Amino acid sequence: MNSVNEEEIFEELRKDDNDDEIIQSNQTSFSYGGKNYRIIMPNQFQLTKAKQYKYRCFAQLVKEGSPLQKNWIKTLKEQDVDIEQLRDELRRYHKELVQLSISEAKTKDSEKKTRAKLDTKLDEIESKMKKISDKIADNLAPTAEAQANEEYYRYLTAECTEVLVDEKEDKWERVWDSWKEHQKDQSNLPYMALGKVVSLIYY
Amino acid sequence: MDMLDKKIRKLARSQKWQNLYQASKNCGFVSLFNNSHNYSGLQIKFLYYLSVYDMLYAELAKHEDPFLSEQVIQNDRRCDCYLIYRNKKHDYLWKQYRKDERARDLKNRNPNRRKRTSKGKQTSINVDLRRE
Repeated sequence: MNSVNEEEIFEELRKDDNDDEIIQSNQTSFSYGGKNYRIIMPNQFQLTKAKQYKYRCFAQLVKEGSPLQKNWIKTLKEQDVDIEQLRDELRRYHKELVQLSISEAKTKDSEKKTRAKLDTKLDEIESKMKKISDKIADNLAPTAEAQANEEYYRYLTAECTEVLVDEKEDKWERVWDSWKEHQKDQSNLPYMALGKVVSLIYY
Repeated sequence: MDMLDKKIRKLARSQKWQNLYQASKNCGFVSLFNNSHNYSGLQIKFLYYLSVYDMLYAELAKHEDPFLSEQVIQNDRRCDCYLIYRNKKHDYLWKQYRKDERARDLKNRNPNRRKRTSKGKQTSINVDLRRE
């Protein structure tokens, strides 16, 4: 009998992986610590509550001395980090990306070598753009706007995460009864759930 | 492009989902999702790709563009490039069409424009009040 390694088995499984469930309902599920969890798309009321919390948070952060984005950009410029210049660079790369994409679109199916060259260039540009975007995001992270935005998603995570308590009855309950309880949770669950919330809502 | 995006696109161009999309467009009672409202970001993106692939398959069937092929649709990178090219092409064609239309309008509205203005009795301004 031929020996088959695990990677080959997974590769075979992936071929048939038509994961319809990721789009069939407005929720996403995951496992953590032997339990099943799900994130349900927040309703209008929950979104409004989260937005109000975000505004309160923003006001509090500004009061406590967190910088506003426009002021922070000026401070960064004095420290030789020019956000506007980085944004200009992004726009320049984007133009280049469009030109290369048009060239690639005009290739025939048979022109594999030409396409491979263009693909390499496109990969390079995309990777440069990603680096610049990450640099911008990292530098703007201390601003009140960025912090308040993060809190907004944390609040939604607390509102929308449910745990399966009875499999037979398909009974689900909220993981954190209140925002305070969510804040007290020191496990990795809030972070895992946060990632799922962002991909479900913001995608 | 991340794995989730690849998965969504693969599903959206699959025959099963394209058929369901056609059915839901033609007869309203076929629903695509378990929920009928409060769509998630993933579902909205999926709907976008369903319509994009539906449009591309329709154009492929009509042989509208020599650069569009089944291979282009099946390859995410090539498909993205084609969509950028298509967008630019349509922008150009639309601008050209508007230019021609304006010239036609001017001619139809004031067939004797040149003659009259030359006499100094009448002048006209071409104002296009339609939406862009």
